[in-house]
Formats: sequence, C-alpha cells, structure tokens
Amino acid sequence: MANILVCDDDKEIVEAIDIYLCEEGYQVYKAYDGEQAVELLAREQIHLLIMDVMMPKMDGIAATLKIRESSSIPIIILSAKSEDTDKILGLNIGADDYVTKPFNPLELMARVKSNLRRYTSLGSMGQENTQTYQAGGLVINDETKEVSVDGETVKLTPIEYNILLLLVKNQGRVFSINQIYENIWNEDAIGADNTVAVHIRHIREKIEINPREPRYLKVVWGVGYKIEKQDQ
Amino acid sequence: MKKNRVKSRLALHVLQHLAAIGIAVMLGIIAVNSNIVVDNMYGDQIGYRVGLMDNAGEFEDSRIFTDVFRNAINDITRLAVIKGQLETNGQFDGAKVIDVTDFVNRISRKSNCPISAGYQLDELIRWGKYGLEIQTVTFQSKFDFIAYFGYENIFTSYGYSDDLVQFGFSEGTVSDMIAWDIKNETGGQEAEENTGIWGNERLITDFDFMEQEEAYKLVRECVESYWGIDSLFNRITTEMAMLGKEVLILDRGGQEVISMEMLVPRYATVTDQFIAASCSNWPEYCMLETNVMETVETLAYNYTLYQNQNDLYAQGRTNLQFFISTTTRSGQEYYTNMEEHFVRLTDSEKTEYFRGLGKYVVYFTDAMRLESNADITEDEMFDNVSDYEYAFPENTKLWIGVNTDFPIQRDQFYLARDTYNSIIPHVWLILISTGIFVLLWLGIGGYISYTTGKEEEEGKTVSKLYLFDRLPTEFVLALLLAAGFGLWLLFRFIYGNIYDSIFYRSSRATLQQLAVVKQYVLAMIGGFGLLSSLTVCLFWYSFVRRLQCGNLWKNSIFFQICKGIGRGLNQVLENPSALIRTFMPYNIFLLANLLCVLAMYELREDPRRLILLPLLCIVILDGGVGIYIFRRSAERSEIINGISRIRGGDIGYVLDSEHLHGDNKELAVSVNNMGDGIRKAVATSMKDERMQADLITNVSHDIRTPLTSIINYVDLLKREKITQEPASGYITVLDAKARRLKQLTDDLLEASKISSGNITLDNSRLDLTELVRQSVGEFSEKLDARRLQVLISEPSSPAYIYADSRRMWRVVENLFNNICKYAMEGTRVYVDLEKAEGVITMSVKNISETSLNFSPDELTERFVRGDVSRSSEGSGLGLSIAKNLTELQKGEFQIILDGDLFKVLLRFHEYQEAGEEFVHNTAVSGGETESP
Repeated sequence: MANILVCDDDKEIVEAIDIYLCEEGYQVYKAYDGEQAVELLAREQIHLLIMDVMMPKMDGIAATLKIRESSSIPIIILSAKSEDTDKILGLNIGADDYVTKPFNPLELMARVKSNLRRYTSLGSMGQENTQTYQAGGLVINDETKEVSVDGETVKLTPIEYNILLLLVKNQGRVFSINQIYENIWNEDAIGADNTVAVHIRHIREKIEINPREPRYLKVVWGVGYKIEKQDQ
Repeated sequence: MKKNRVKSRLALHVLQHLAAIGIAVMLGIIAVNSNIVVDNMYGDQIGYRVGLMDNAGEFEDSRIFTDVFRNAINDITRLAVIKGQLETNGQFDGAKVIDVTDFVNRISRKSNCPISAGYQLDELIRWGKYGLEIQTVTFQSKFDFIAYFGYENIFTSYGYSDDLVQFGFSEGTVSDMIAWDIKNETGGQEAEENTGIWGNERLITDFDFMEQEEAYKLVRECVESYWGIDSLFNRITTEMAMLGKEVLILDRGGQEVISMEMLVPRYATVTDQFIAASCSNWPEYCMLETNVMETVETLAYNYTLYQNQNDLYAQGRTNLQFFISTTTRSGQEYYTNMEEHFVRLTDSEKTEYFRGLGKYVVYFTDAMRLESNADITEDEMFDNVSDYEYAFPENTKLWIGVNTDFPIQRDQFYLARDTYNSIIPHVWLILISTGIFVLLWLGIGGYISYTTGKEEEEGKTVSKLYLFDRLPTEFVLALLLAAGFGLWLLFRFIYGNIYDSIFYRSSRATLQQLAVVKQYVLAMIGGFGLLSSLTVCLFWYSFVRRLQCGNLWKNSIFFQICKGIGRGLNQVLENPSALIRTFMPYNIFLLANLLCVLAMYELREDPRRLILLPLLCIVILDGGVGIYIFRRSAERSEIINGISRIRGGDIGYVLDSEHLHGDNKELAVSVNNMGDGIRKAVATSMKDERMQADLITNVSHDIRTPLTSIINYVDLLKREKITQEPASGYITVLDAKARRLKQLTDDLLEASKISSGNITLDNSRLDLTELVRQSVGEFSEKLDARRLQVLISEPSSPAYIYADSRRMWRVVENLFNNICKYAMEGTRVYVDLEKAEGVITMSVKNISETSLNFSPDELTERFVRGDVSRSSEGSGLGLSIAKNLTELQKGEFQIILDGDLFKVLLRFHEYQEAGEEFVHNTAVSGGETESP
C-alpha cells in the first residue's frame, strides 16, 4: 500500500489521522514541523503528504514550495484557515487539495484515496474512445453507460445519468433548470417544479466527496448548473 | 372637574360684565333723568339740572322749581317792559308813534339830542327786520359838504349875524331833495350815469338850485372870508368825530372829494320827512341818526322776544300767572295773562288769590315789601325791576304765582316736575343699586385678578399665559390706547345723542316719545358699559397675568432691543482685538476719505490743479482697500471650500496655508490641525475595527485546531461501537456539541467579516426564481423530514437582480435553515416573488412552532435567538448574517411577526436588461468565480 506522511504540530491530530489511515491500510509516517517533513520525504518513499499550514520552524507553505522543487506527489493541505484567499494561495503554490479544520475524517480519507488514484493512474489515461467523456477524475462511458470518479464506479439513475451527460458534454456551459428540463424530458418547462434541483443534489451526493463543496458539478446560484472545465 | 372650573369662571366673567351694564344703566338713568331743557323767551333753550341731593320732598319746594320760577319772574318783568313799549291797552299797537330821541333817552339816558323824530311803530319794526342800510356818500368839495344843510343854516348854526338869512331858501332844503333821490334809488339809474358814480357811492352834485349860482358864489365867498372853508370844515368834522362819525378827504383823480357813511332812510317820519330834513347841521344829524338806529334795533329785537314770550306765557299755556300794575304819566297800566275781571280786584284780594296758587311772589316796589313762599329774596326782585327803572316807576306792584296743581301739561314747570318725580323719589334706590353693582364688579374683578392665569396642574399652581398675553407689551399698550380712544369717541357720540334726542327735543316732544327715546339711549349706555368693562377686563387681567409670569418687561419690544444692544456690546467687549482690528482701520479709512474729500472741496478752485493730489490719494487708498478686501474674501472662500470638502468626507484634504495672510492663515492652520485630528481619529477607529475583526479571526482559528482533535476523537470513540449506557449517550452529546461549536465558530467568523465590511462582492445578474427553485431542491430532504410543503408563486418573467450569487445563496440558505428549524411540522411555507415598478419583492412566510414573543429587531441582532429553548442547532447569527448580506447588496431585509406568522421580506432593485451577449458572459463569469 501507499506510504503517507502526516505533518502537523498538534500531535493528537496526527495520531487521529494515523488511526484512520491505518484502518484504510496505509503506511503512515509522522512529522511535527515542516523541516521534519522535508527530511522524511528525502529519506523515505512517500506517495502522499497531508500537511498543516501553521507549524513551527517551517510552515506548510514554505514546506510545500520546497517539496515541489523535487517531487510531484499529491499534497493535501489541512488548515484552520478557511478563507478563500488561503485556499487559493495553498492551491497555487502546488498543493493538490485543501481541507479546512475541523474536518470530517471520512471526507479526508475519501480525498486521500481520490488523490492517490489520480496520482497512480495518471499515466493510464491515454486511451480514449469516442464514446467517453471526461472532466478531470469524472469519466462517462456512454457505450456502457458507466460513470466513474477517480476510477471508482458510481451508480446513477437514468435521469441522473442523462443530466450528468448533458452537463459533461457541454463542459463549462451553465444550464438553467428550465433548460435542463427541456433537454431531458423534451417537454415545455412551464410548470417545472424543483425536480431538477433535487436530481442535481442527488448526483452531487454520488459523485462528490463533499456535496457542499463540489469539485465537478457546480451550482451557479440564481443562474443554473454546470460541470467545471478541468485542466488536463 | 376641570370643565366645571372653566364653566364657573366663565359664569363669573359674565356676571362681572352684567354688573358693568348695571352700573352704566344706573348712571345713564341719572344722567337722562336729571336734566331738562326748556325754551326761554330769547328763542333758545335753557337747561336745568336736578340736584340728586335736592330731596325736598315735593317738587314745589325743590331747587329746580325755584330756578325755573326765578327765571320765569325775570322773563315776566322783561315782558312787562316790552308790552309797555309795543302795546296799547293790552293789545299790540302798530300805529303807535315812537319818538326816537325820547325812546333812546328812556332806555339808556345818554342822548342829549336837541331834535327828535317820530316814527310809526310797525315801520320801525319792519325797518329793523329788513336791516339798517348804510351807504357811502361823497361831496365834490368841502364847501358842498358844509353847505349840505343849506346856506341859511351855515350862519345860524355856526353863530353869525342874521344879515345873510336872506339867502336862505324858504321851501325845502337841499338835503330833502337828496334824500328823495336816494329813496328812489332803484329808479335813479339815469341820474347815476349822468353824475358819475364811483362804486356804490353817490356823488352829491345834484344841486337843483344852480340857477341861483350867484347866491351860491356869494355864500361861498362869505364863508371863505368869514371863517375860511378849511377852518369851518375842520370844526365840523372834529365835532362829528366826537359823535362817532368819520369824515374822509379822498383824492380822486387830482380832485379833493369828501366821503362819509350815511344811513339810508327807509321810512319817513310821521310828518313825512327824512332824517336829514329834521336837522339843521351835521352834529344834529349824527345824533339823530344814532338814535334812529338804536330805536330800530331795540324795537325789532324786543318784538321778537314779545312774540316768543306771548307764546310761552300766554293764558292757558302756562301754569304761571302774573299781574303787574304801574302808574305812569299816561295813567294806570297793567300787564297780565289773567282774566279781564281780575283788574277790578283790590290789591289785597289779588294777593289773596295768588296765595291760593301754591307758590307765589307779591312785590310792591314803593313799600319794598316782598311776600313769597318761594326761595326768592327782595334783592333779587329789586334787581329784576330796577333793570327797567324807566318802565317800572316806584309804584309798580307785581303778583306772580304758579299753580302747583299744574293743570297745564306742556309748560316748563310740568316738564321739570315730571323729570324730578321720575328720579328723586328713586334716587336712593338707584344710588344703592349703583353701589351694589360697583361693589359686585370690583369684587369679581378682584377675585378674577387673583385667580387668573393660575391653573392647578398635578397639585401645583402654575401660572399660565394666553395667546393675548404673549403679544409684545408695547403692541398691547398701543391697542389699549386705541381701544380707549374708541371708547372716548363712542362716549362722545352717546353724550351728543343724549343732548340731541332728549334735551333739545324735550320741549317739543311728548312725554311718551321722550320715554321711548330715553330707553333707546339707556340701551346705548348699557352697551357702552359692557364694551368698557370688556376692554378694561381684557387689558387688566392680561396685565395681571403678565405681572405674575414676569413677562411684562421681558415681552416688550423695548426689552428685546435693549437685549440686542447689550449682546452687541458684550460681543464687542469680549473681543476687543476684533474691535481694534476692524473698527480702528475702518474709522481711519473713513477719516482719510473724509479728509481727502474736504481737501478736494477746499482746492476746488485752485488754479494749479492741486485738486488732483487728494483725488489721486483717494483712488490709491480706496483701490488698495478694495484689493485687500477682495483678496481676503477670496482667501476666506478658499478656506470655506476646504472645510466643506473635509466635511464631505475628504478627510485627506489639506489647505495650503503658505500663500494665505493674517487671520486667514491662522484659520487655515487651525483647519488643517482639525483635519489632522479627524484623520487620526478615523485611522484609529478603522484600526480598532480591523483589530477586532482580526481578533475574532485569530481566535476562531485557534479554536479550530483543538476542535479538530475533539471532533476526530469523538468520531473515533463512536467507531468503538460502545453500546454500554450511559457512555454511548455521553458520546452522542459530545458529538452534537462539537458540531455545534464548529458551526458557531464558522458563523462568528462570517458575521465578523460581514459587519466589518471585510468582504468583496462579486456581483452579476441572477434570477431570484431560479435561486429559489435551486434552494428548495437543496433543502428538499430537510423539508420533507419536517413535512413542510413549499408553495412558490413566481412572476411570469425571470426576476433578475444584480447581486453576488454565492452571498445570495447564503441569505436564502439561512432563511430555509431557519424555516427547517422553527416552522411547525406539517405546515406550508409560502415563497412569493413579485415584480412591481422596478422592485423585486420576495416574501417567505411560515407558521412558527412556538409563539413569537419578541420583536423582529431582536432576531437580527447578533447572538440573539428567537427562542433559546427551541433548538440547540443554531448560532443565533443566521438572520443577522442574512440581513447584513442583503443590505451589503443594496437590498432591504424586513422581518414581520404577526401572531404565529413569521414573514421575511426581501426587496431588491430589478436588474435592467442589457444585451443578450452581455447576459451570457455574466452568467459564465459568475460560474468561474466559484472556488474549486
């Protein structure tokens, strides 16, 4: 299994994450400041790094910049700072994901898995056939009517599948509820209730790790829904 | 209570004015009933006043009766004299011959006229009625004047020998002819033309005897040689001047003429002569003319009196009876208004009769005996009689009496008695009631003066002013004067009316008419009393109230003026530097100008044109001052401009004080200092605000790290699948509280950011309808869990607003969260969207599970929750955040609580539709701002 380095100055948090990761069967290395983390990375074969921002000696941002000089392993930043600016900063300097404290352990596990899958299966994304649509880790095979997120298959109802397919086919375009309704049901949208909105929420719950902060199916409030165009 | 007091006070006022009417009417009764006016023999009226204290009991004993009686006796004696002049045997005798000199001698005893003339009585009276006519007469020479009364007379009159009498004229004199000519004046038009008239003068040239020219010449020579014409003329005119006749010597075109005034002889004497004809020289003429004139005037006047008198004292027209007998040279004469047979009674019988009349006077002049029961003295009677001594010789006897049964109802005695009886018996009643009214008026006035303006308020006595009392004192004073003047005019009018309508008519109107007129006048007087009382009370009470409140002085215009002056003086005294800086230069400037003007005036005619020097001075001085003032005010307006910029929020603005001068420089520096202060204060407050926000942010970050451990270990505990009670229960509590703590820190952070304005909005066009539908979709499970049914009513077209979509979602999310927490299970939730006049209103209504016993404001205040006991889920910040976010996006957020109905109203301006392209771009860019 993969080796994961957890770095936080709060020992209890490191211990708790250690417990969860061990349960999932990962090999866990522990560090309590940025310098230790950089040293460990140099010594050991590490596949994924979970790191706090505010730490003594070397903080998470400096450590990430330092690590990115030599390594491209997934880095998940774990921070008490929940501001947009903090997240943008973290992601811009090379982190792959940003989780705010206090976090849901299950979500953190899901993100670890997702990032590992993308990291390890990155090379095998070469073969594409015409019937496959992809948006980041989200892949739809229209021939087999299969949907997978970061390699894991997701089960959708036919209507959910059609909505998702419509959005993925037109990545980046925003569809209003009425437009979605007209496209899927082929009916006039007058009298459309909140069915579409409910379906969208169900889709999000299935394909997103945290439906409140979706990565793929985004809500543009007051305008409609869209699949974010992913950088390949 | 208060109403009763107002009523009783009103009643008091009314009572007081009624008392005033009473006083006026009582005084009016006295005034109207204590005066009478009666006709007297002189043709006019005489007034009598009833003395109020003249309470003798019967009218006959009163003073007014005595007054009337006394005047009547005076009238009667006068009447007797006139009767003697005009009557013969008790009847008017027009043919009676009056010897003028004799007549004048009797009445005035002054004339020593040697000649006389007799006229017929009626002619004399008529002459008097037509009026005496005087004419200017001229003579062509002094000799003509001297010779006016004939040549013969010249010598006899002025004491010369009889030798010249032969030149006289036997038949008629010159003056006869002249007089005739004057008498026929109307027919003498022709003569006037011939003789040359000067104005209305008559030129005496008309000597008929011109054929006797020689005689004329001779006489003239005689006179000249004997006396000299001038000398004789002077002698005559001097004598005439002593008799009151003026002779003038006039220069008419170089010729000397003699001019004088002469009476026009309207009637001839009984011997058919004219005045001049009876005279033999000028002094005689003068005396006779005077006598004729006096007789004519006296008789004409007496005739008028006689006519009046006979009316007044004729038998059957008066209650007065009289009998006067005298013995003159012509025998026994008597004057009376009594029956014929009375004459034949003896003196004692007559006296007896008069005693029976009631009031009487019997007076025998020779015996100096007076018998009377009236208040008449012998002296008075003697005075009455002795005035006409010539008519009443010493044997005159008078009986005069008044019938006190007053059978005749229209004479002065009856009228006086009526007036007397109408007031004197009631005089005490009237006086006492007047007194009572006066006391009542004063008493009420005193009471009201004491209580006016005082009102009970909450147990305390408060002085109160009415609108009238707030008028400036001087104005009220002027009003008072005007009102006083008005009352005075009214009084004059009523007073005049009393005389007009009562007294001057009393002798002619009937008593009934008089009574009506009196009532009318009394009503007027009563009205006058009411008006006076109203005026006096209005001003007096106002005066009292002003005194009480002490605003008599303070409310005066004079006081305000004084205060203004005092304030101005104070200002000057407190700022002596301003005085020196402003007034001194100003005065010097004025003085310099004045000097220059004076100098210019002095040099105005200087030949060397030195006048230009002061003119130049004035131009330079005034120009310099003008530029100085202009620069000052320009700098001042620059400073004012700067201040208004700072006030308008431009706190970074600094005035450039370098190029300013004097006061303005100081001012600018001060303004800059103040600006610095404001900048510092603003910076400090902004720093504080930021520090507060930073503090909250840091604290919540610091809380999060331990919170992460708590949540993680609670989760780990849960994984241990501990089923043993109560440990598993404890774990559940820990789990819930940890989540709640997490929620709280999140909300706190957000609320702090919003309220410190530390967020940036990313506005774009969005459709509220879409947002609501999306939100309902998001909340569908939560809503279903509480069996809440959402009913949306949407407008037919999209409800576009311009807002930050994520923040709007936060608003709606908070509202729905609220509903899910607090709405009663199984009820309906109404979401209504409306568009009207560019405003989009979204209302969310639901029924609360518990009663809403708080105000809407409390809900939106931080950390205040609708009801603490409801749920432990919320932080109490949801609605507060929603409201702040709405207002940040220029919307309105209103909470309405009505019973159990919980209603939130959101209002936004409708987004103005732009091109389709733009809309699309906005939508896309809105999506791109989503954080990954």
